[in-house]
Amino acid sequence: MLLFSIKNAFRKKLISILSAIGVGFGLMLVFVIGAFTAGTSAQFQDSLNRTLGVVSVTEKLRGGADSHLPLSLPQDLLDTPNVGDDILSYNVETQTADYFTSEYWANLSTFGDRLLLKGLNSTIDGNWGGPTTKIIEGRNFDPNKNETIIDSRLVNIAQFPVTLGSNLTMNLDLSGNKTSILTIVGIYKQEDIGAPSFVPRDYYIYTDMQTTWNLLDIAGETSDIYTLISLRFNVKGHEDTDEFVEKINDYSEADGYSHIYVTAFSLASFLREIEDTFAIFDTFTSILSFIVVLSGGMAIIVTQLMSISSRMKEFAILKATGWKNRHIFKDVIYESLTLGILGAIIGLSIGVGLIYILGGNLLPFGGASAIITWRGVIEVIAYALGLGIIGGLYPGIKASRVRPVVVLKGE
Amino acid sequence: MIKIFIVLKNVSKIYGEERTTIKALDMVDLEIEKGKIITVMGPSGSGKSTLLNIIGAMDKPTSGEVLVNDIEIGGLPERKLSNYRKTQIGFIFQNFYLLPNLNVIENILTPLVPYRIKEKDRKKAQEILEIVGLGDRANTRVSKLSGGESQRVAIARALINDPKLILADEPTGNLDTETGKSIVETLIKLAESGTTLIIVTHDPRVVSLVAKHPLGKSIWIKDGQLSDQATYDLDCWDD
Repeated sequence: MLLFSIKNAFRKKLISILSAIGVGFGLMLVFVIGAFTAGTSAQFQDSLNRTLGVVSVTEKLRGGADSHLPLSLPQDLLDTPNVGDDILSYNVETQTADYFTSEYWANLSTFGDRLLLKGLNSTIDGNWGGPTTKIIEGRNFDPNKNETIIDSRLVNIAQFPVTLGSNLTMNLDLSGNKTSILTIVGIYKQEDIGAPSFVPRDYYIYTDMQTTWNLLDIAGETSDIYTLISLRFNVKGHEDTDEFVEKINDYSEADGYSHIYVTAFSLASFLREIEDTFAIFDTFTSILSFIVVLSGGMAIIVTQLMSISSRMKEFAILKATGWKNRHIFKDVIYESLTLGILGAIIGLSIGVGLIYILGGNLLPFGGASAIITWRGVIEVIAYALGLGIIGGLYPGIKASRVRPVVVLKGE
Repeated sequence: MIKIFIVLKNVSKIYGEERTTIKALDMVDLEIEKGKIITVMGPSGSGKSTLLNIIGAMDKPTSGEVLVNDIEIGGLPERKLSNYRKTQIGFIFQNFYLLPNLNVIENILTPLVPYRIKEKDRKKAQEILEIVGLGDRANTRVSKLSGGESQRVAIARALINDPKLILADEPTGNLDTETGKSIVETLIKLAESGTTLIIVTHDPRVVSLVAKHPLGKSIWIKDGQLSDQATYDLDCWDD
């Protein structure tokens, strides 16, 4: 019967195919949005996992690159009661002023992209598992030799002068009169943030801490040294991370804590706030899917109604030859399912192609992450089957109730 | 002992309501023996198709009793009527009603589609095709067939379920004289194997052909009532 119904589904070829294409486009939309949601969500979860237990500490009044933290602060934090014992590792960095590297910003891909120079301590960064442990080409910088390692993403930017051994000029003052040369000795692996390419990115180049201090003219000082201290705590969940953030922030002079001018924050709690936005996006996707199912169902209903209206005599004859009402109903449902499944095949094919194109670098959306999951494929097939059943229900009932004598009397 | 296959007792069929009623059948009493070849003759609107539809369980009488092969079909629910049509009846229509997207053999097998078609069904369909003279057209699309060939396919379709009764409503109505004669001859040949055949027609040549057969019998109907034989030229298909 299935083969019989499949053949019947294409009695009005053009209309059937157009209907399947319409359904296919709807399902494609659901599939593509689902794949990008899954991709973004996976990337988001990955970021969330990577930031599990990580707490950043900056100066309370001047955050970011303007933050000034003393050389002694890491040890102070390690010595802090109820905090220090749970620190698994830490990292320190000193970021230089934007104008050091701003000359190169125009060579980056998107307006708003920045190149920034930071100083690291190789030993501490090694324990942390930072950029110096991710060299994929060349070698790590040596201390005090004006050497730098660069972000691997810069290699793909045609305008950026990147080759091992080439030099980058740092402007040490705003007028550009005082400069210093850094030699590229290595490239470290840096994953992209996954956002569309029009979203500005920060690219970091690293040198050793001492070189940074020399360039900043703060060598020999013990305060105003670091811009950021990162701590990795021994935690089981993000709630534990939040607890350490609170502990560091809640200490006051009254507790004998000497660094009340610092502030702690965790990227995880920021990311979890974004999670709420994802929930809204999910709702939007669900509503969209519902609309697609509804409109796809309507397309199949209309196609099937047109088809069965012109075939009432045929159903009457089938009844005359012994077909029961349920046989005719089943036939129409199978026909609708055929259109739905063809729609799913069209939707999945175009969807996979679209994800391939949008996921690559051919369009401004390049780099956007999408994951084709079995769940996504099964969802599309389930929608197609649902559409087939919904779309065939009314026409099926109508066709099955045909009274042969009434229809054939019209002859 | 001669078995009475079809019995109609006081059968009436009224269409419409109150003032606009039309009496298609009016207290018809009829008995048809098993294996007979019957023509039902009458002018348009005389009630001959209604009679056929009632015997074929496509329509229900307003009053009266209809027994076919000892089954009282008037009181059967729709589900059992489908089964009755499947096991007892083979319908043939003036307009053939073949499915244009299927080939000849697929059309013949349509009554069996819901019941899973087996290899023996295909063999049987091929055998029936040989009988109706279309043995070499099994895989031809029905849209490429002539009127006569299409009606032969419709006959083959009516035979696939081994019906006890074949009901043919104006089977020659859309065919030329020669083809019509050949179709009626085919039907008579099939009926000789013991199947009861009722042909509704207003073509006297069909009546003539059937009347000359030893199993043949003609019924005349006018204004919903069986009437005496009218005067027709019964020799018009004679060679």
